Amino acid sequence: MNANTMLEVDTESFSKQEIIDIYEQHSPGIYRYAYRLLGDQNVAEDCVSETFSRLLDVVRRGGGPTDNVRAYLYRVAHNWITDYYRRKPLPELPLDIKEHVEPGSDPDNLVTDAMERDRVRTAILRLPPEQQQIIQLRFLENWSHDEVARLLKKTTDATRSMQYRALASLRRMLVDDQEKDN
Amino acid sequence: MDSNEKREGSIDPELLEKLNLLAATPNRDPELVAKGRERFLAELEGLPAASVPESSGRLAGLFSSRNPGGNSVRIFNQKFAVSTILALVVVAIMLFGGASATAFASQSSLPGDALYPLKMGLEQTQISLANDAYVQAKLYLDFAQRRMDEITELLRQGRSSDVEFASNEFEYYIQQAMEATQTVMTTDPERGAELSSLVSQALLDYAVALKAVLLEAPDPVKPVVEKALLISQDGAGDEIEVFGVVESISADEIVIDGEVYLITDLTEFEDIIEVGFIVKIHVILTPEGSMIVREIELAEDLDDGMHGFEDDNSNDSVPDENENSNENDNENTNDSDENENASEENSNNDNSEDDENDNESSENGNEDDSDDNMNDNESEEDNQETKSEDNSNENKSEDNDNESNDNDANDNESHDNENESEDNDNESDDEEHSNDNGD
Repeated sequence: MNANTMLEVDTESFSKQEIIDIYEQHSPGIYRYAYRLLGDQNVAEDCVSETFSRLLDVVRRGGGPTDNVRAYLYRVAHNWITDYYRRKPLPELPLDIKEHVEPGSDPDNLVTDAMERDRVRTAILRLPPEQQQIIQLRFLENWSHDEVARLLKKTTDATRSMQYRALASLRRMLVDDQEKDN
Repeated sequence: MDSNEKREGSIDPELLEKLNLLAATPNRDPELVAKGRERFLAELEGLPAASVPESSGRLAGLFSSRNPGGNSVRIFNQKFAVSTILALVVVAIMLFGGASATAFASQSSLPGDALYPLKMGLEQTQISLANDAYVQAKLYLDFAQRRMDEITELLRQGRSSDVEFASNEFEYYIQQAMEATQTVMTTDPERGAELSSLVSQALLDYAVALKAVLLEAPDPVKPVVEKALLISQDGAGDEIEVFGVVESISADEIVIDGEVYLITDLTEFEDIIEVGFIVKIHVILTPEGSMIVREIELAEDLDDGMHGFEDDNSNDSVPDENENSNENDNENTNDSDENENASEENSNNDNSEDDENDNESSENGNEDDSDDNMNDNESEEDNQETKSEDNSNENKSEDNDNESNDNDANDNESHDNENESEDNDNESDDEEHSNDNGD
């Protein structure tokens, strides 16, 4: 697609169309990303709106992502989430649910899963923001190290190292606590 | 999928399973989706032209060509009006004695104080008045510094419960500063670069200060301070890993393979380091080009694997737990390497890469044997003790002067790693260790 030829045909619809395409293409991903950290559909939708509103805003001011729109959007979304949690203290890391279930009883799996999800989410939120991003993008969105490094504007060595630290922290919070208690 | 396998192969399966719980997200409410899109389209329709003529970027270029003038003027006026009102408020506060005294008094208030909200409000006003990302970034840095000072002061007064608030704000301002830097970067790369180096330098300073705070902080607050420290460190600069032979070491610098690296309050000593040892260091590259050692350890330590693997946050875990990731395989490798090492220090430089990989795979294979780990730990620790004894003896016979110098240097650092030599669990007291092979 050559932007210039398109421009000559119809400037306005193209530029808008391109923005709309970006919205259609990335809003589901941004939603998933936001939902995983926020755990609430309404708040996640808010995050999506604000993120794209921010994109329009920055384009309007003559800035805007020059190359990697996707990375830009995820970064903005993550900042929004960090900001959202900023004013309220993070919830305490809930205890591992399995510990509290009688071995013989048959717990409701749905409830157990939901609580365990909360626990994982809270643990991720306790990481520094960039580590949160790495965990989400690498393991839940399946981005490559390269892509993550570009988003964070760091070298892949640096992001690998951060990923390592993030996983170690998560393991400590989620796996070892449990083993210790058992 | 190759990359996927590799990715999953390197992380604790139990942890991966937990992370995967988050993978599935509920279907979006179609009504909310429709509403969101509608709002977005409406906003898009109202999009005024770019007010910056030399707009960079493809998207921006497209927009600036349509609908010139018009809305942007209105927006500018609106912004101007808001700024004016805010400015008047500030001036009024300055002019009227009582109020201005209050505003002034609020400057020294701390989170939890009655006047603190006023202090924050004034800061917000200053930021909105700045209207320029470059100035804003500098303000954010200033305010981050204030939060730092508040953290220190709160701890001094024993008000631990308010530290988390200050620390969250600290993190927030750092993030804003970095974001503003990126904004400047897109429109004015030169000032952006200048700002970026300012930010990195400030973050490095914060990291050093926080490191000191962390040592003094009471246990319940440690995780909070630690997080702030991590963020500062990550933002301070790119980190690289270097292997090499120690040529000399003093209290403030270490020469490795002819290259000088700085030792600061930030530096963590994992092991006793002496001249002639092969070490692995993690270096922060500062914007001015100096290289600061963040972490230093003996290279052969890589073999006993994942030492300090999980000690991102030490205080609430039993020290021994840190060793859960050491397994039989590693230990065997370890033994032989240590023997080699005692007789010939340089011998395992080449091995380090392979060993690192061994660690990775064996770590995975053994995840389930947590029961066995306790035993492993004990023998592991024994090994380590022997090792460090060997090392120091050797060095003594070679070079007495150096020995004493090095001990001095280590003493200086020993407040960081309280139990350097007597106790090999010392990693558990440090806030974080990256072996870089988590992947």
